[in-house]
Amino acid sequence: VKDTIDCRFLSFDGTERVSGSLARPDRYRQLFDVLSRPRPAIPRGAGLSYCCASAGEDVVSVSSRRFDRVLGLDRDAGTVVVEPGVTVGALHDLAVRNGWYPPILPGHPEITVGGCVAFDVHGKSGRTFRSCVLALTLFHPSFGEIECSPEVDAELFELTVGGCGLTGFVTSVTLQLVPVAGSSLVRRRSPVADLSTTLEALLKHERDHDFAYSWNDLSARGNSFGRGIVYLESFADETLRASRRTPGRGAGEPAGRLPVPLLGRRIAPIANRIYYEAERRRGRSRLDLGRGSFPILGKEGYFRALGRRGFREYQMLVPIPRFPTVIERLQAAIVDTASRPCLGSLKILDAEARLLRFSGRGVAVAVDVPAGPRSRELFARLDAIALEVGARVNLSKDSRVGQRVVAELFPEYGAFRSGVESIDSGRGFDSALRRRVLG
Amino acid sequence: LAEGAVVVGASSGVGRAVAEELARRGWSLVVSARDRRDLEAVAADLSTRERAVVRALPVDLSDPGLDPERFARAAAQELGRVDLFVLTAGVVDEEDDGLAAPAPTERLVRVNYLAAIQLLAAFARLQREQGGGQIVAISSIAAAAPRRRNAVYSSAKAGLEVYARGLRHALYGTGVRIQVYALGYVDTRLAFGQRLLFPAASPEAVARQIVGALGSWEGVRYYPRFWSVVVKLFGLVPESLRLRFKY
Repeated sequence: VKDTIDCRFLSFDGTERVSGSLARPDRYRQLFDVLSRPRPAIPRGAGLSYCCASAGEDVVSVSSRRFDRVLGLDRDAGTVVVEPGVTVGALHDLAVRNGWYPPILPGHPEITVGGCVAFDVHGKSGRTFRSCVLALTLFHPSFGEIECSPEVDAELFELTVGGCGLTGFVTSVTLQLVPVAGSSLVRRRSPVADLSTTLEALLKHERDHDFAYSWNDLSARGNSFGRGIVYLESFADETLRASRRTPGRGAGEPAGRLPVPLLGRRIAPIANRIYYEAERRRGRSRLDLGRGSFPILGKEGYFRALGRRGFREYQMLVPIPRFPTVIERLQAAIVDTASRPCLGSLKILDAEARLLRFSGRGVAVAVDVPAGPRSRELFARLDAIALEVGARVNLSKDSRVGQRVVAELFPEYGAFRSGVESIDSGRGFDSALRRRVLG
Repeated sequence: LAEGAVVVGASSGVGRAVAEELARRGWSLVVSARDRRDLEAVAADLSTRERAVVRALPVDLSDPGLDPERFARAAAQELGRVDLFVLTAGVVDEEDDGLAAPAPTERLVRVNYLAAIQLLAAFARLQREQGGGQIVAISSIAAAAPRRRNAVYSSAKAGLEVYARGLRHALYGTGVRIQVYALGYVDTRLAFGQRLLFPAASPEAVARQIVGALGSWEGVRYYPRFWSVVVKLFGLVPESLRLRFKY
């Protein structure tokens, strides 16, 4: 019986490779044992971060997949206590069956609650995961297992939410659910001409819909640049037959990807135009909650179509007054580098900006391109734009942003770094992300 | 009224999956294993997610002081009636090359054989008094294909299978039925990181099979079924040839 095996890890964006080890304990005794050894470790959930956040060279990735039990649910108060390996899909199903709803859900049901904590994810909602976390239990070999919350050991709590797994292994998470506002979702689509009208529409509907976000065509040239669809979703009371919930093959496995990118620079503009025309005509649709809550579910083929060489995503959170500048600079950067992004998306985020979290009040802009020299050039330009307008980047979606840029973009970079170093002075927790961003 | 089942070895692997499958189908459960914290987590999970009535009753099969009779009575008291007893607990040892010291050997034999058959006997008696019931125990393909890495483990499992055949005879006509699954590779801690000749079945698939086939046959069977062919073919290879390979 082996408890760790040598393993090659590939980031979900397919561009970062590291050789480490994997442990998959299935009991607490084994979990604490593997975390207490001298070799550095890092918690690993579904492994769906776009960078190697839960793996590192010579690091033991400790899987939380067998720690996927629901420890308690208060059906009256809507609070739930779960182990970190519980997937958001399972959390969603449990909550909905009991008349509740997890207020913040990332795009795919296979993502774990531990991963949501580690990156303070936002998903479709305008807030981040931090807003529904009431308390955490955390294990670190230097202090054992302790509970922390905004009231108790607040500093440790804040460092752990969005702490990239560097403060220890979360053993339980207490979450506040909200009453479920309907049994299905109505999704309205409205076409928009460009990025500034997209922002106007999102700001206008931010409050009167449960979810608002957009898809934009950043591969179109000239006046068509940024045309897109604004998606406005609201809960509705219509019970629909539940659709198939099994995620497509290869949800977490870049291995099944095509040898050459299907969505390269020649095809992306055509694919985007087809998508735009098709969505423009669709108007309204109704989705059962299991499907509607997770926009990426069933679209796993998109990642496979991006090819084995992988893709890169850039996310920046732009202060709203600076958005016009960003539109102009973004278009110039795309044209100058002859890039044809295969995906663009906007949404409004409104969460307190803290530490290295992707949070604050602003427009979250996402851009996807197949990996390659052109993407490097484009992303260097995007780094410059982010620095110019003071836009935070999303560390869980970025496998290349360096220490210098992060240190400059995040005012609390120094506080985060020294906080992590004081909790984890022996560097018992390590990852490729830590080495790249914190040094 | 939900039927009552006791699952020993329920903190992880096949045992946990069987407990989940039973809870999903409305059984009331006593879940048992050595690790109290994991056991309580499993019990909390099943009572929250499946709204099942679940009690955690820790038991340590490696403890020489184990009182199988008392454990069976305690479990029966929780459930009222034990319609099903499932024993999945087992241990392996990295040093199990047949030349190990007395202590690890004793532990392997105690958990996989001695405590196991004592528990089977205790629940068989209980179910005979109840006027019927069902017993499921887990063996391994290792029982039919012992090798240098599991000499004691495989002999203990072979002993368990032979005992189960005797027990089946003893229980004939009493309404107590016994099923033994000799499992091939299953994706649990035992198979983690091993280079395997065949794909490992998921614990959930094994659990669905076990719960789905309750009472439909008696005796010892391989699962997944193709292992019966593999084991037969293995038996056709002359021992003198087999010994030359390091497997």
